[in-house]
Amino acid sequence: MIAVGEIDIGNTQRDAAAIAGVGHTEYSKNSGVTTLTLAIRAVQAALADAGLSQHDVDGVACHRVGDSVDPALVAQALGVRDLRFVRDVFGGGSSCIAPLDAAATAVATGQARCVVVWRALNGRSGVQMAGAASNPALSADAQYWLPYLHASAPQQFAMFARMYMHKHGLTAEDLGRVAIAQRAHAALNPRAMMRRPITMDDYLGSRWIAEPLRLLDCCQQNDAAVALVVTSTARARDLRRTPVTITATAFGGGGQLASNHRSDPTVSGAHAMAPRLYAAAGLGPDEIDLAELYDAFTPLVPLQLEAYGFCKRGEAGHMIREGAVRLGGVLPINTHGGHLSEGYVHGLNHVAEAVLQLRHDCGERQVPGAEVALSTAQPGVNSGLTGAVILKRAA
Amino acid sequence: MSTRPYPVTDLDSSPWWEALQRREFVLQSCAPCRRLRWPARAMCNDCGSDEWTWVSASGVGAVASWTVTHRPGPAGGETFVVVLVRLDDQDDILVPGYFDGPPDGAGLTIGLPVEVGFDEVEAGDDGRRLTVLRWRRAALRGGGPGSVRE
Repeated sequence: MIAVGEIDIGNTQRDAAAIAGVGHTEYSKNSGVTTLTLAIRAVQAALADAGLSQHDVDGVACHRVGDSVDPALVAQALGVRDLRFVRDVFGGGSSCIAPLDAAATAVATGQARCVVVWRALNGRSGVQMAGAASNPALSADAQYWLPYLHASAPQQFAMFARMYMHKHGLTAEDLGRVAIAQRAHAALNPRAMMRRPITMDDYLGSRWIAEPLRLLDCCQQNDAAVALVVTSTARARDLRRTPVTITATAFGGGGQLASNHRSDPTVSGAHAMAPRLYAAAGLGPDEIDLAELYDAFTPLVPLQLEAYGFCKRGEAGHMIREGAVRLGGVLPINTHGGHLSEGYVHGLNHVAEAVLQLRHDCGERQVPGAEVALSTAQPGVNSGLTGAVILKRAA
Repeated sequence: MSTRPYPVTDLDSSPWWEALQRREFVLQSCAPCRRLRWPARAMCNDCGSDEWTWVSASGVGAVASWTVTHRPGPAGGETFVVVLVRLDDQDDILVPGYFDGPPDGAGLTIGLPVEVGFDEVEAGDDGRRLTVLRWRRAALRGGGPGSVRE
């Protein structure tokens, strides 16, 4: 387990910035609009949620890979006259916390007053992420996998999954319990793409994609955008919603699956990063009320339960079997259904859900009295990089 | 015409690919510290030296993981195996490749001793010949049949 206070991190920005609004577009298989329009619609929804207008925006930030939109176009479309902050982060699920971190720093340091953060993708009708990793321009090391027709996201994560399952005795049923629990959460979420509850028979009977991963181990591919409005905590207190403060962020990683970096690829970048995150937040895993864990594929959930200190290494299967991660359990995870069932907005819909939970706006799926939440990026098992944020309901 | 892309090699990696086309399996060896590295990099991530030589790898290792990909579309029902092999030479070098075995992965286990082999495939729009790695079950060594190393 991770003890707080082992690391001294001077986090001068703790709770200085807040998320004042969140916005979603519809999740669909074919949005029928451009990623620019998706981004604008999500940003408009987030601004309306915050009680602000497009003319309050003076900063833009996004992450993107595969399908995307240029943030300069979004700023122009929003009519931002004096753009004071821009951050255009290259990357997918591993990088989803970086734009939020940049926005928080921008408002905490006075570079900007109101930064909108989004991820917009036509990930079903446009560029499907499952194949985006096959683009050799994205990573020089793809050249060592492509000749074996082995570069899609399910294949990459399947290679990791077998090692991880073998090491800790994790079974297919353990992964199935993750998919079933998240689908049960999605059934309570009107926004979710997949709301019909599933059984273990459904899970075990779903077709193989890349063994040991089945179809129901894999996230959705969809068109959607999510946006957040980030401003100072002081200003957020005067706005429409209960502010959710950005207590701490952390980043880590650095290894590739095949590289001279680590002899055990089942230990992710998140394992080394998590103690720094908790130190920066001034709290520990016992104080987290819910966790939105990046779940492009089911095995990432048990891996992160261990990496973030919610259980000992090798005990995540037990924790899942005990029902701890379901709504009503000690640590509800992916309360919106996650990427597996709500939809895939590349980590940003996890942050949005954490904010809605901390505002107590989640209706049937609300975690009662939620005060502190964790939202994570891909833990860095394949692409190397990771990140996470701890959010708090403002006192 | 092949759906298999020809690898986009670069100035760091092209000597490795060229060796592979000669059916040689090589690694970089750092000149001062002898640390082995792969994939190709211009600097040792341990001692920082930018001097190295290409050396022949032992070509022996153990299966660290494998996948069985189920091909969609017209090839539906077909499967193929890709293994990830941890080299005996240095335990942080993991190298993918095909496996000389059944397409459903039957008989594979984590820790299975393997040795390097080669295969020729067609790659790229013009169907050029490309030599790739095809690992095979190691000839008897040490522990005998069924010997497995973690």
